Amino acid sequence: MTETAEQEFLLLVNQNQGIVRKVCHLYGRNDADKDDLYQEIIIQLWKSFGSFRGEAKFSTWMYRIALNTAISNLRKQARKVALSFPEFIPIEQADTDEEKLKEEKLKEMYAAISRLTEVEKAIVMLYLEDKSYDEMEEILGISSGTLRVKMNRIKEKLRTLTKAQAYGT
Amino acid sequence: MELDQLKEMWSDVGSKEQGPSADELQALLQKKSKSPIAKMKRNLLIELLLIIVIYVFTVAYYFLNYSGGMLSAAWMLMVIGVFYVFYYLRKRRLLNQMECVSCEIKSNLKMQLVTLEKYVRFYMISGTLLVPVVFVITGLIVLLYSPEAASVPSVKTTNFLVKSSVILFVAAIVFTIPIYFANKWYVRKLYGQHIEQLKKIVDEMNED
Repeated sequence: MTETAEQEFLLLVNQNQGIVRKVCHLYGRNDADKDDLYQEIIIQLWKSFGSFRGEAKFSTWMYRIALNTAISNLRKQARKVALSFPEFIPIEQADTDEEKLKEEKLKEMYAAISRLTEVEKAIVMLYLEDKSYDEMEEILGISSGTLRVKMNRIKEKLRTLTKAQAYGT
Repeated sequence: MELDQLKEMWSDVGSKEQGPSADELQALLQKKSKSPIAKMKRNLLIELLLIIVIYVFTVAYYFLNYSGGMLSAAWMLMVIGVFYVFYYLRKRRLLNQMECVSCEIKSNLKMQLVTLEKYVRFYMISGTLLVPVVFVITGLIVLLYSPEAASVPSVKTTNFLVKSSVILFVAAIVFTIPIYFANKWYVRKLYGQHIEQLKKIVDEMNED
């Protein structure tokens, strides 16, 4: 590919880096795993960039590649390791009891998400990204009706998982 | 804590992290993919190179050390080599069809599963069939053309050749049975877990 294409690609990736990072946070089990996944996603994006025709939004195209790479890499899952506590929780601000409680609950929620299946994680991620069900359908290839049902089940599952964690089971 | 509460904070995930610089990103583009399919493509290429080296040396050995009928072994290797080229191209084509990372996730995974199953079946069948074919042809070449066999007068009689051929065929079948199971075990060890995981994901995506 030409140098111009490379520059264009780097610019687009830079503007949308958050997508790749979030996917790595959800699917990477540790820092090394996240780095490997990040690298693999960038390579796959670059390999596919030549065939990007702009029929879909760049972000939609990027979600597809990032999630396809994360899911189909199927790294050995000998142990389910809970995701590391994400940096986005403002620990330094957790001064009051109420904030500490909120922080604790967030940890539980994040740990619960890490116990979801690969497909459920993808759905949760797109939901957290505030994607409409139609956009989710465009990325995942699952009908929006089915996605709604799945989302309700996931919410229920997360409630159960967070409760179980709270009771230490 | 509900998922919707997490939504409020989600946009900040990873935002405090120092992302790779433009130079680091550019360097990433030169790296090789570590995806399972990329690894399979690399393994296939290594297999091709190994076969070329082994075949060139073996064929040259036969041409340099034997003459007459025993050269059939070299010709047989060359014919098998031609079949190997078709085998290589078929596997390569299947690997190229195996992924479409920019496609919808469900269709990509389905395609990956179907193509991987085809790939494994082809690998199994061709790997198993090669054994009796080579076994019988090699046996016949040794029987008909080797200097040791030529010194035994009864070898050239029709009766002996028919009997020997039957024994060779039976032995080839008997020999192929354990090879089939060994192949099956090996292919399962290589791809079994990956296929199972893919199936699980595709089934989950198909669920209503």
